[in-house]
Amino acid sequence: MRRVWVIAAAVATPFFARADDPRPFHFAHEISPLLVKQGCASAECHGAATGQAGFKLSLFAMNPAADFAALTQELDGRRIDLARPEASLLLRKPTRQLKHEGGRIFKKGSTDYEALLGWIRRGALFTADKPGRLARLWLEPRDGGFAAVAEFRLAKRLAKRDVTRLTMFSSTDESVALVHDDGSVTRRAPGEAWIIARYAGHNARAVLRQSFNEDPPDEAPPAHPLDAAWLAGLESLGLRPGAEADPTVLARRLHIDLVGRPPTPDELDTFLALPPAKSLARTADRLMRSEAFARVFADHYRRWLELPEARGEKDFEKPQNTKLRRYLLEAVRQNKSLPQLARDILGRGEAAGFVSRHNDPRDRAEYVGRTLLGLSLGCARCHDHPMDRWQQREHLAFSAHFADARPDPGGGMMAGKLFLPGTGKAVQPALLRLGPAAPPPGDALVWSILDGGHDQFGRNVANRFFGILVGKHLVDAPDDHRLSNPAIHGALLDAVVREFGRTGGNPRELIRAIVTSRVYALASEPRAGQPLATDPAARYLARREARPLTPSQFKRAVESVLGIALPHEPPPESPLARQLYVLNSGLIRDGLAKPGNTVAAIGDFVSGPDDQLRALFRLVLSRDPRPGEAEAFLPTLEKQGTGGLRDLAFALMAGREFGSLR
Amino acid sequence: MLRRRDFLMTMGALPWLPGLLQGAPLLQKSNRSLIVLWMDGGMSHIDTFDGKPEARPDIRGELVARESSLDGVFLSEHLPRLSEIMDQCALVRSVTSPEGNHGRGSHYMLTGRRPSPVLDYPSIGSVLTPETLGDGNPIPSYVAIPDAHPYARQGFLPLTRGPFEVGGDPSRGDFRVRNMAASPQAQRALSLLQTVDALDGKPRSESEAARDRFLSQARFMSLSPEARELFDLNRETPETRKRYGGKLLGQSALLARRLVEGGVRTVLVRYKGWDHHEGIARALTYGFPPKLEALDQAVSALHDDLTQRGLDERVTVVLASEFGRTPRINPRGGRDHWARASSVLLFGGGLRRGVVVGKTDANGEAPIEQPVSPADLFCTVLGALGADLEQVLHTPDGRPVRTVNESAKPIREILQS
Repeated sequence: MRRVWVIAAAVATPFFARADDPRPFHFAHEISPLLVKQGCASAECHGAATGQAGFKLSLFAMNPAADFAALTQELDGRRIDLARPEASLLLRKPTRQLKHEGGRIFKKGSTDYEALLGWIRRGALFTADKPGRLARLWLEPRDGGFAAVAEFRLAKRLAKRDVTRLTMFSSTDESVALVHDDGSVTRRAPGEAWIIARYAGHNARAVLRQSFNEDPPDEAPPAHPLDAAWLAGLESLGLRPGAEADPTVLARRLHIDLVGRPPTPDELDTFLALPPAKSLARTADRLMRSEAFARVFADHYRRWLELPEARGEKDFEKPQNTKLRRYLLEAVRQNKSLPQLARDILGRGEAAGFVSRHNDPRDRAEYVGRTLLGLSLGCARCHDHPMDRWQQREHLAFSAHFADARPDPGGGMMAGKLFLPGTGKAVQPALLRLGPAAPPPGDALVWSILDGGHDQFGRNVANRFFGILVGKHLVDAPDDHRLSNPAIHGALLDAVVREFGRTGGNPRELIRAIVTSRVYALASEPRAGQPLATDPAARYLARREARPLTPSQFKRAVESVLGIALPHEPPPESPLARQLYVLNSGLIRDGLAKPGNTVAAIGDFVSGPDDQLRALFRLVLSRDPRPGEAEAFLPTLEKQGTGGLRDLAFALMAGREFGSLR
Repeated sequence: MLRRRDFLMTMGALPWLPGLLQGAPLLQKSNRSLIVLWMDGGMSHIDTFDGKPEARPDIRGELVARESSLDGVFLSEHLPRLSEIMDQCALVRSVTSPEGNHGRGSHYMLTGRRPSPVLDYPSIGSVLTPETLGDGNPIPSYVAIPDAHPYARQGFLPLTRGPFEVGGDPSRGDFRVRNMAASPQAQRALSLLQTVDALDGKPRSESEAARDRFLSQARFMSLSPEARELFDLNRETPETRKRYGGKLLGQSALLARRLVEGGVRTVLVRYKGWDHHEGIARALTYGFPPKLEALDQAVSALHDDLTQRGLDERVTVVLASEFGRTPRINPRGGRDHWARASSVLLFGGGLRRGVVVGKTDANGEAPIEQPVSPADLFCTVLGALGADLEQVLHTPDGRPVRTVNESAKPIREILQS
């Protein structure tokens, strides 16, 4: 079978610096990467917070100046011997001519050995001959693998260089493709893997796809913008789209997603009267006008914006949190645009409380990063992140934007100015550099997040709405967008982002676009013959997986089925406690015993066990009983009458299907 | 009636159960158990295990300290039984931490990690919980009595490794594990439920498969006499119940002993009400029962009971709190938060007897000998249980995190071998 490999990477350029150029040199470009690649600067070795055996390098060599000092000055300079370069500790230790805890790292005479030796022979300098600044790193295809190319900005020109030897490579999925130290690739299985390259604090990536070689479907190009992108993504992997879910499943899915409860039998009839595509759109529009929708989505917003859940009356509740929750409810009711929501949060009105709930400006900065941009800046609070572009000083400078003018007298002792560690100088506030554009006069912070020549706000929101509706984030975790954490279906995410842009960030239109797409309508079970854990479709189709109803969904579903409100607490989170609750808490039992509940009404007003069974299944599971079920349960209804009906209703509500959102 | 064997057979009939995570388990086929007695709120070290009888009155407080059966160790005179068995225990008097806030201090003690803005760490009970579903044990591995502290949960580990909360005070006459008593309707409908699930076919996702497993476990817990007995304190003789003390702490400690005997790996007993900012002497010695009396009675009874039943090599007990309290009595007669020094008592499996580690200065302000961090303590407790201290956990996004903080060292003096 011929496997088709698709390699997407930056355009190949044949231009390289000539070998006989007088070589400009920078420690950070030549030596630091080598220490990283050999593992010397890892957290397990000399990169540990306290170093190793008295020798400390910065973690992942992110601080070349400090590492240079450690190598050349500490220990009275014994690590480097300029008179007899071969006798330098830097060479004798890793070649194990001297005892070395970490064992032998390279051999005498190896390329790395020669590189270090050459550096010492030339005087162990930090820089030489105006080395310029590393401007860009990218990957180019080479012999089925990759070469890493770096572009340096010199005084009068740009210079390109192959830095493969000094680059760290990794694969996002080693079961699909394994990448070796020299950039070559071993392909293992169909699927998609991203090759991530890291050199001197810069990251680059390229994608490898190996086709599943399934027959493409024979159909007309779809009109729905998300479907077109989704199918194109599947085609690039040679995957067939999975089957769509049964219309009854779709009806239940849509109602629980949008209003937190299953459809009533009447709503079910309405839904099933039209083809699913039409019904999804119409029903979504109707449901999104309801108060139940506002409550359900205000709760999604609440979780997205990290506001604590409303507590019972007994507990102390901060009035500010109540206000913020009310703001969210109102925002959903009015269908406030998402950019406006972000402007409110960054502004000075009532929604400013989302940010000012945090006292420390660094917490505020991280909060804005996570919730509005989907970026995890938190790692950079303590150290530069090897797989991310954010550095400690950028984190501090962005945090300084959120510092109050002076410490809040009522607490918040961390507010006020931020100071650089080490020097003690006050940090100058700066915005995150996300795009190429320069800030206009005015509110630069809002501009930098919502505009700034980038679409990160839209990507974050698109990803979160997709996650809310499909139960799976395209970029997971949703607050960790970065080069080395690619989306499971990049083309689909791009398409959702375009919808976000086209509608001006209108939440209801975004929801409508997602729930009317084919990926929303996919069946949630593994495709025929695929085992549960390894179905490739689950990964690459971005299809939903059956998941338990949330505690509040479960309680609301029971109440909606029975047509009565119940005083019980929602089920606990712990999975064992949840099953005990389902069996014994009394939520279902007491509900079934209450006069006037809908199940009792079926017993009273529907005649004949066949019709009763059908009514019960439509009420509880939003579908008709299957033949096997009719055969199994009709005797119960025939023999035990109302009691049998109640027991069966209990069993259906305690059952796997009812407790799951498929 | 559902017996353990039936449960195992149900489990065997579920071939699609996912083998969730790979990697070696923390405890290799061990029958060791851990009981954590958590004094929620911050137990004053000076008024309990680190008495300073020679300090000024505004330091030593109103309560008198006397030398215990362990040389140089002064316990409150309200802890007479513990004082007698100190030569069977290990006491660490030099626990010191920078976290003087309830939440952060508890996080550090219960997870062995200082709180982090980027990671939610799992508690000791959760790291000791087996990784894989369907290991055949119908009894939960980690139980909290009456409930779990917010930082005694699973952190970044899956929800399946969180604590099971009994949800009630075991000393109450009507005590029942929350939702464990099978409702008549559930009993009648159980066979129908089985048919409903069987006709639904195979589970559609891993979470549905996990739900099936927990439903089996819930069925076992609500129907099997074995499970009911496990949680039933009426199976104990009135003398035993009395020996532990009749209120929350005593009966919780007794329930903890029953549970570890029945195979539960970790039991956390949460005893609230130690945040004594006012009138500390009175708060510790009056009430129903007085706090120190309850502590003395419950812990000494647990110690003796474990020894008599031959469980003292299998079960490790730790008595701890988020921090100590200020050495100087404040103007309201209370003591405030003091994380620079606190005391932790340990006894049982894997531990030496009659050892005291560390010492605080004359006023009990800071350790002057062998300071021990909460991370060291966490590591020591895992060491006492024979756990693999190099084990690595994985966050949901695959980042490896050592179970034990890299810089933590076990306290060798109190570990056997």
